[in-house]
Amino acid sequence: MNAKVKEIHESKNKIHTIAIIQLTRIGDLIQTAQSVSDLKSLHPEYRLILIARSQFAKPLRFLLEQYFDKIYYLNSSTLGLNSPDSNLKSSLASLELFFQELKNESIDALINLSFSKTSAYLSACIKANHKIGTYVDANNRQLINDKWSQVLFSTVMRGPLNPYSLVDLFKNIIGIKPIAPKEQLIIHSKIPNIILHPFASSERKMWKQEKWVEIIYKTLKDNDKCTITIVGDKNEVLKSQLIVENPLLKQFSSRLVNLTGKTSIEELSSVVSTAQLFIGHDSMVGHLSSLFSVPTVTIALGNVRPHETTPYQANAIVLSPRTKCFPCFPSDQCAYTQCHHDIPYQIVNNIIKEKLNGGTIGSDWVKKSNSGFHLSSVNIYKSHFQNSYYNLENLSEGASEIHDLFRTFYKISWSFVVGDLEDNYPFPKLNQTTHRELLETLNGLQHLFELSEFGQKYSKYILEEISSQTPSISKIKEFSKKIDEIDNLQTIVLKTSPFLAPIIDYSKVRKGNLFGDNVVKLTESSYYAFEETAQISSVMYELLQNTIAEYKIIQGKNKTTNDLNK
Amino acid sequence: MNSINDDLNKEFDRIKKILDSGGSLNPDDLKIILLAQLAEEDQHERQS
Repeated sequence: MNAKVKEIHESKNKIHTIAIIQLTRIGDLIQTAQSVSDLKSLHPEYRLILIARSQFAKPLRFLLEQYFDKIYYLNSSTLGLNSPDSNLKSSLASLELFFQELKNESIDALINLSFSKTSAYLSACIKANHKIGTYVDANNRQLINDKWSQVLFSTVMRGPLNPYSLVDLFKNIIGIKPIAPKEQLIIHSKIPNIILHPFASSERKMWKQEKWVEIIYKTLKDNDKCTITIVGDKNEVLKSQLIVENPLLKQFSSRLVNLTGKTSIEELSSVVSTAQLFIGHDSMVGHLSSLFSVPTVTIALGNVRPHETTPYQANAIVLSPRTKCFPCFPSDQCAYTQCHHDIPYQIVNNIIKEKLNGGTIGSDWVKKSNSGFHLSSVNIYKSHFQNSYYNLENLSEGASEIHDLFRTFYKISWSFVVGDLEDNYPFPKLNQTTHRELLETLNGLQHLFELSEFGQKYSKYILEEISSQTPSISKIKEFSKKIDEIDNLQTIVLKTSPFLAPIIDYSKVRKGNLFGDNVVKLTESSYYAFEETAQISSVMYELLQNTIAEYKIIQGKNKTTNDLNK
Repeated sequence: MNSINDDLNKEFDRIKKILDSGGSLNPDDLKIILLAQLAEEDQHERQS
């Protein structure tokens, strides 16, 4: 066999290896597993490896091993990071051993789904044919080359306007078209058991114990056959005791089980798998429930962004407050936690009752079965899959909230421009306030479009100047200066049109990651970045304009009807 | 402060000087920063 034929033969038989970096917590690891499940079923021939931190991935090993062929654990203890006796030399030697083990893998694509600084440096240290997601270069610059990672970087944790579930974003980054998970038939046990996880990773994301006592009391009182099992981590034992030992719940002690701190995650997953319902805050137990198609009711508070992290399954219910500052940022100061008071426990109890009775939670049920007074401060969302993408529909009556409006517009725009997919949604309902805000944003979009056109124009001038017979450096400098001015003007648009932050941030990330190693290629890349910003602005403009036009038609019809009735 | 933190701080100053003078990082420098990042994350995790 000659060398070339041998090479082709080897290439055909080569097992392709995809490595995923996920250094964050257990909930993110479950969402990562959910995102690779389609890849595993569509391409069983690929070798899939995971690089994760020991403290989060080892307790989840039983589950992760179903999705990944091999897991590499970064262990702080082995690296000597927590030991007073260790020194840099020994830690570096341990880290080198970790990389030596990884060197045995021939990685075709290294995909960083963590988006932390740490994961960017880790990605920089691993050899791979292709790198997706953030990584650092020799000049300590953080780079992102693929568009979906750029979308994630510009929208997730930057505000409330990201329309995608993290699982769908991960799937897009990996490069697999989302497939909606199959709905499974759930056979309920005769004694319905509710799994309750009333805790979260920070105080601002969870209710005080008293509120949960009210919910447990009412649920057990109204449903005499139901049991509630409280689950949680070892560090949540004290909080769970404050709940179960409350005198109000003494009469229900036979139907209230406290497993907090008593189970491993594997044991917990077995308990969750047989439950009829999960209730709790944004935490890994909700994600675990969705793996077993256990219906979920999530209370989103503080800095939780429900559209990103609600359990990934159809018919998941999530309640979020209409508090103006929701969702906040972890660094925001908050003394009163108004959002904790804006979700009435009565609505949670009504939902639990309906779920236990096998009823369907829809907008009619929300309107008929709940007091308007209680509904005024809360949004109730229900999940479904549209075009195989996870979608949260607001079941509350009336006009759409401004953030819901923009999330829908962004979903259509990102899908069209970055994902090459046409997505359709009915026209959202406007009121006077949202109508005014859309009108104001139209101006911002127009400015953004014009600036992007200027950006394309000056990028083109630079290319023309370079290709001329006697290129003038001063002219090229002058055009580059104009492009810098455009970047500054985009920042001014952001101040007057805050709802355009995702486009402006995306444009900055795109421009910070231009392709090419010479002026021509970089300028061409700059041209395409401006062209894309113009395209997104134009799609958004059309969506806003049509929504406003529809609102005016409805307003006109209502006016005519009112006039006729006079 | 333990020994590794002292070592990392010294290395951090050295790496900063390289970057300030327009130099490039080598693979070992990147590994040192990675260790520093992991140590920082652990500390943050312990505090939260």
